[in-house]
Amino acid sequence: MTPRWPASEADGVRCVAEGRELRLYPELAP
Amino acid sequence: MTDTKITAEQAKDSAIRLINSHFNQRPEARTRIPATPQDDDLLIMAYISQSEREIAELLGHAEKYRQAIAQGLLALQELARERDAAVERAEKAEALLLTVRYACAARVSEDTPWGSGYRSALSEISFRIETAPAVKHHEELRKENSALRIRAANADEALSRAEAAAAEMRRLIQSTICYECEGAGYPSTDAEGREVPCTVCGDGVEIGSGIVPLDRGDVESVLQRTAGTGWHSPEEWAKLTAERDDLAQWHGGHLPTCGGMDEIDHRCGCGYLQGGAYRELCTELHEANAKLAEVQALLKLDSHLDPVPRLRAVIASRDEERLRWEAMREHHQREIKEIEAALTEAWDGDEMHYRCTQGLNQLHAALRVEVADNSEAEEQKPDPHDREIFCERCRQVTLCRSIPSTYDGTYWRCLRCAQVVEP
Repeated sequence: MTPRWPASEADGVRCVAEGRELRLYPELAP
Repeated sequence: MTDTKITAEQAKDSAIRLINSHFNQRPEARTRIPATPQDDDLLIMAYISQSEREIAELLGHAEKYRQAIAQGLLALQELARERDAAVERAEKAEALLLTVRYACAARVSEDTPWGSGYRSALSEISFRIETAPAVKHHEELRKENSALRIRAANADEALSRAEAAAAEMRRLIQSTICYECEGAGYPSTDAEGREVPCTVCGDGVEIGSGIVPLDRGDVESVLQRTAGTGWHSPEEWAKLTAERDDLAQWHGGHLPTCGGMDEIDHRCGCGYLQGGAYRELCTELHEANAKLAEVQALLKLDSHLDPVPRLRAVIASRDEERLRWEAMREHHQREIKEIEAALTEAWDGDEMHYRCTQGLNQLHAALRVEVADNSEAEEQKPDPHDREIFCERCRQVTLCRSIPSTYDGTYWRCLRCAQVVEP
């Protein structure tokens, strides 16, 4: 099973672009 | 988790930032870069675009070197052609001279009266042929030409080797990992862009990812193949060798903290695939060394600002000053002692003077009494300064004289015993 990131759902930002998603820490989000 | 709607460009930028944070081992990085498109599509795309940029740079570099070699070869060929023409001209000249010589020789063989004349002419012609500058030039040209031909052949060979190495490099760069046989083979694209299946299992085509599966062995073999072909400049060659040596200190090419290859994804967490993590490390190490050298140089420069000698100098000057002051104090103390001695002496003198005065006064008094006794009858004129006052020492009323004093006004002194009396 591939580990997902960020581990905590609370402190991440889910960026959605044209159906694809990227989960990031806030400092890496645009 | 907050949801944010962003554009595809922004998402790609973010993914590239994430990848870079991973290779720079930042705390906000992911634990690993996902390998399969199912894992994280966007991240893979950003990784691919980043890799493609690097590959394009590498290919441009290779193309530049190839062009330089080709130009050099053309110049050499041109030179060889010119030499060939010169040799041809010289050969024609030689042939002409030889024709003349043979003609002369034919005549010499005839037994005629003018045979001796021909013989001398023949010897002269032979001499001329041997010493002719054209012939000498011809020999030199022939030698140069063969050397040039060898050089051109060498250059040709070098170019073909360089091209083969470039092709190999390109193949390595453009190939990807075969997921079916766990990285044993490389599926790739050929010159026309058609997909070529894995070289080992004939399957697992994963074209377009552009991930370079260079390991240390690959780097070394490419370096060996391209050695001396002009593929790398000497500086570049030294840099590559140094980098390879730097990489060699890590176990199996992986960072000490890396767990090694992921068997499913054929990736590892330390950026081994493109040597990114090592390059970061090596750059950091070099920068740190440079900084250290700089600091050492600065320290060397600042040695004249070392505080210890300066402090010593200050302390020495203070000591000197202290000694001077002590000498001065001693001098002053001596002076004070002298003055005190002088004062004591003066005081003693004063005392003596006073006592003498007293004795004198007593004498005077005694004298005056005698005189008074003798001339009682004659002169009864009392001194206006004298008065009869009770003297405590004489225990009687005696004649006392008023004595003017600078310090405490007029006082009275007994004329008999010189005792100061109160009127």
